Amino acid sequence: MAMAPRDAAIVGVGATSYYRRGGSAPQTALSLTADAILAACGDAGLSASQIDGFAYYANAGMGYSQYVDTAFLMETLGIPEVTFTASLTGGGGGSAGAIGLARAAILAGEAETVVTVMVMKDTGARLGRLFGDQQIDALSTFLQPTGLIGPGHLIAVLARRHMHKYGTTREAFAEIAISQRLNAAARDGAIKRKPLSLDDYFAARMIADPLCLFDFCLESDGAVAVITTSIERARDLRQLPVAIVASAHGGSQEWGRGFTWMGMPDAVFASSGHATVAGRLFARSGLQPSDIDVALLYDHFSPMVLMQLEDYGFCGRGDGDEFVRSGAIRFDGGSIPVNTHGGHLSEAYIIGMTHVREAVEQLRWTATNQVAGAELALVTGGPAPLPTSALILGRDS
Amino acid sequence: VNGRSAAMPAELVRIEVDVFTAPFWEAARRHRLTFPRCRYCQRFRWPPTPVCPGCRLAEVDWIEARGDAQVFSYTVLHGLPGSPELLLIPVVVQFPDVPGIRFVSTLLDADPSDVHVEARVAVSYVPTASDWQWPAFRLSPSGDDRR
Repeated sequence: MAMAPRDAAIVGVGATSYYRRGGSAPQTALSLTADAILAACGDAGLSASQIDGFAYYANAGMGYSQYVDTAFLMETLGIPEVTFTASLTGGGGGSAGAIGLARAAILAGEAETVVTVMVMKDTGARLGRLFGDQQIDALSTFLQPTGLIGPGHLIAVLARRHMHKYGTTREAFAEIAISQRLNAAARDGAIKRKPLSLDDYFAARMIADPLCLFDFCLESDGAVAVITTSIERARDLRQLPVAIVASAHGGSQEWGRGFTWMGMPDAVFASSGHATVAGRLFARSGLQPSDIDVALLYDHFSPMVLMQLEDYGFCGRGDGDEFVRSGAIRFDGGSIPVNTHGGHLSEAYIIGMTHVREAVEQLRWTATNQVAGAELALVTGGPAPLPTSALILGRDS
Repeated sequence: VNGRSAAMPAELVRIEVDVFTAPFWEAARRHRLTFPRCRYCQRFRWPPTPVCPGCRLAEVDWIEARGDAQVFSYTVLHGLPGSPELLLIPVVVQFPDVPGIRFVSTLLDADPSDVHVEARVAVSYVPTASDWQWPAFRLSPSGDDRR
């Protein structure tokens, strides 16, 4: 199949420093967001006044517990007119898909310079008990009394089923945490850089068996912004364009609410819920998993990296354990380097946006852990209640 | 954390009921475990939603389950925020007599080392502070079929 035409591109990326949860004080969510957007504008060689669109995800919920509204950003940054402002539904599942939403706006002629941004700023609410803090209704009441109040608790149940069904081991989850920590060690600004040993992993506090402390992502403060525009305009701007080769979001009814439902058929239960999005993404791109040079897989919890490797076809279903433990995901010598920035487990957790940033750096050939000659990067949104999402980005050469 | 699993403390359990789920909770109060089955296409659905996803019709019959079940998956929670000593074993169970229902609950008075996927369990009700009965489960005396 021929490669899809490239019609839109990422032309600017900006990020604040990454902080441990609460460490960004006295900055505010609005100031962090503004800083990231201005940095992305500077990277692209654009003025903030040229922004005319916003494409968010997670219902524009920044860090889930607060909102940074388009009108506030216009007022703050001096954006005279916005012609598109919209969000994907759901939660972190839409992080990669928000770039696809920006592309859709650009292709439809609704906007020309579209910002996607996420900020994390401590508000006192703990993400680990996200569902425990939410208003209980007649459906969520079937989950609350079980103690499954956080995403990690829920995903532990899926991981346990995967272990039962396929013989997956904690050593594989450990290898994901250890390899990503190695990647973060080299990276300035990563929150966790001290190497992690297998002994450290197995000595760690168990939180939701089989998931221990190191299987959980960090809680961070910070913001990341991305600017998307048409491919023609991108080629006139400062940076080498990073083209959107393909984008997909959504998912199947069989996954649906996923781990907040637990009603999935067995093969889907023991998965990341990405299979249909993955299939659509590769079909649209005309590419195969073996064409991808670097994979930035949403890693709120380590088992979901393994299950995405299966859903995206880097290995067979149920083969994730052997594949990961073979060293295949290592930056140094792996066949498909994964989360070369350290990911949510070790660099910072900005709900998927750090993965988009890393893909851009890899394809500009400016990454800290640069995959030599990288031409194509896969970026995924969170394994989560629908939508899930993914992007293939390509070096525009 | 060592020892045996507990239920979520009654004062922390929050039960909300609407017109579609009320029959389940009213039956549970009488220690009956019932699930909605589409009156037309006989498909079970869970949790109770307004129409059948198979035939899009609304009417259901509430079918009583025996209450014996099998662990489909589980986790062991070593403390919750604010309750570091709490040992909870959330379970997802399936019922041999109610095909298609996956029920999320908690396992009472179990040693985590005795729990495994496919273990046999049976329903056991726990009163909540708001005067509802929460259907929890206990490992069946026979243990399981696997060992």
